[in-house]
Amino acid sequence: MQTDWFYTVWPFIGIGGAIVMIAILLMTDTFRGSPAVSRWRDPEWLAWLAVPLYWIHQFEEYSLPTIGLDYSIQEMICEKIGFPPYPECPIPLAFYPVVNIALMWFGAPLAAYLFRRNVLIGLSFWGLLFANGLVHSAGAIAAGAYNTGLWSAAFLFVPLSLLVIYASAVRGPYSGKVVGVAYACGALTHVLLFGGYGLYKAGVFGNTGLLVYAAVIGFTPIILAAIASRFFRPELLRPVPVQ
Amino acid sequence: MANYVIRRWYDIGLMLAALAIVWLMVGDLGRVQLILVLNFVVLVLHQFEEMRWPGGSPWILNEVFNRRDGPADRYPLNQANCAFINITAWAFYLVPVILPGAVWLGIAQVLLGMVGQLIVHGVVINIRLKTIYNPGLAAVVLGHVPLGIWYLVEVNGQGLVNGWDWLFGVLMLAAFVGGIMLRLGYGLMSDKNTRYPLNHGKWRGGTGSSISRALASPPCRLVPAPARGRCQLSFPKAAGRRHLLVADCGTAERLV
Repeated sequence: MQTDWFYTVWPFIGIGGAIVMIAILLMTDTFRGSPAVSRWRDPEWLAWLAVPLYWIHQFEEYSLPTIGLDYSIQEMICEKIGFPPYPECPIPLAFYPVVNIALMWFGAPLAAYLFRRNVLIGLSFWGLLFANGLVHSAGAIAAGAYNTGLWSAAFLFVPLSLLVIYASAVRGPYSGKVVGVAYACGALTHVLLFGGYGLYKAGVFGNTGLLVYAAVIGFTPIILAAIASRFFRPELLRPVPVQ
Repeated sequence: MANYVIRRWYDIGLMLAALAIVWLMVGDLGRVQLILVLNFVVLVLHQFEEMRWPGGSPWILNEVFNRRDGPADRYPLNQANCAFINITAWAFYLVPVILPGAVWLGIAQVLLGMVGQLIVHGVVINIRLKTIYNPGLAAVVLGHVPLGIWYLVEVNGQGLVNGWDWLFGVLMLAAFVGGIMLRLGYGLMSDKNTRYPLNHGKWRGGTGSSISRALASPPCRLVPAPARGRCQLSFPKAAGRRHLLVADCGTAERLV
């Protein structure tokens, strides 16, 4: 499959960023909201952790063909939707970097940054990671085979999503409803992403529409969380130090 | 001699950059090599911007970005580990020039400048300081990022890169950041009792001195934000506008 250079390069740029981000997260206090407790119990730090974790996941999903392994998530998506494989598959290849970059290079860091103002927005991307982890894991169990992105989804997303719930709501200072709605916003974004494929297949929008949809999806967890925030008292959404 | 290098490595770097530019002009370099040499020149300018003019990165690193329990003029960054990390970075940038066929070395080099430095200077430090500029950012935005993109377009366009180059490039980047910079530089070489405190009078650089000047002129005040576990410093800027530095409370109290 002949592609533009950027389609090959972007997951490697992401993994480069992940290396630096993880080093900063683990070696400095820069992203910690409550330096008195362990990083793994600090919801603000955990909100930032979602960013490099998903860059690792994108690397697993999109780099395997580049290093010669026969796993292509683009082919898998086309097959699942009922399209022929590339080059006949009509989904533009630009869709994949657009949706992933919008989501995790821009949307997720913005959400983590907004944690200091609104916990619901700050944790919303963890819902996306949790849903994504479950989808990959369930798919692998059902098929009895590896799918691209499975390792990072099963071994990073699922356990760490549960840890975030534990650190934020179970042992943490935040309302279970707030954390639950934050996760629901992320999970709903995942559903809307799949819905976009369906709308595209049904002809509701074309290639350009799909790319615009992808860009909007990148910020959907934040938009949904901002809307949901209106139904909570402001004091429930403010970050508080963890003891 | 060693002391001189440790104290003045960023000035020596400028001389190396000048030599590199001469090499660019008289040497018969391919386009990939040309980009990598330019990236080395930008690295040296980046270090000069961080350390000398406007300077102040050591202050930011020790007081704001990675503050630990120790004297901030020498811990965790001191003049010796600072020189070690940055001089090793020269090698990290120059070896790919000598071996342009080893694309993975070039990938590691451009990822460090284009992605790593952009995250640190463009996002993380600016968030911590609530600024839009910090020393080092100009060289990253105007140099490392465009050169990195140019390099990636070039090696892809010439068909020089394959998947293994990417994999080894990423591993090389991880080894440099994790091993050289953090484990060796910031880990083993950091020492509260080092003989090499950061250069007196320079370590705060432009950023640090402007803050010191501002702090010396009232009304400077500490604005605690206990709910967030952080403190803010509020002080007037030259133009009369108030400027906020967000830091942890210990740092803010020490500055006041």
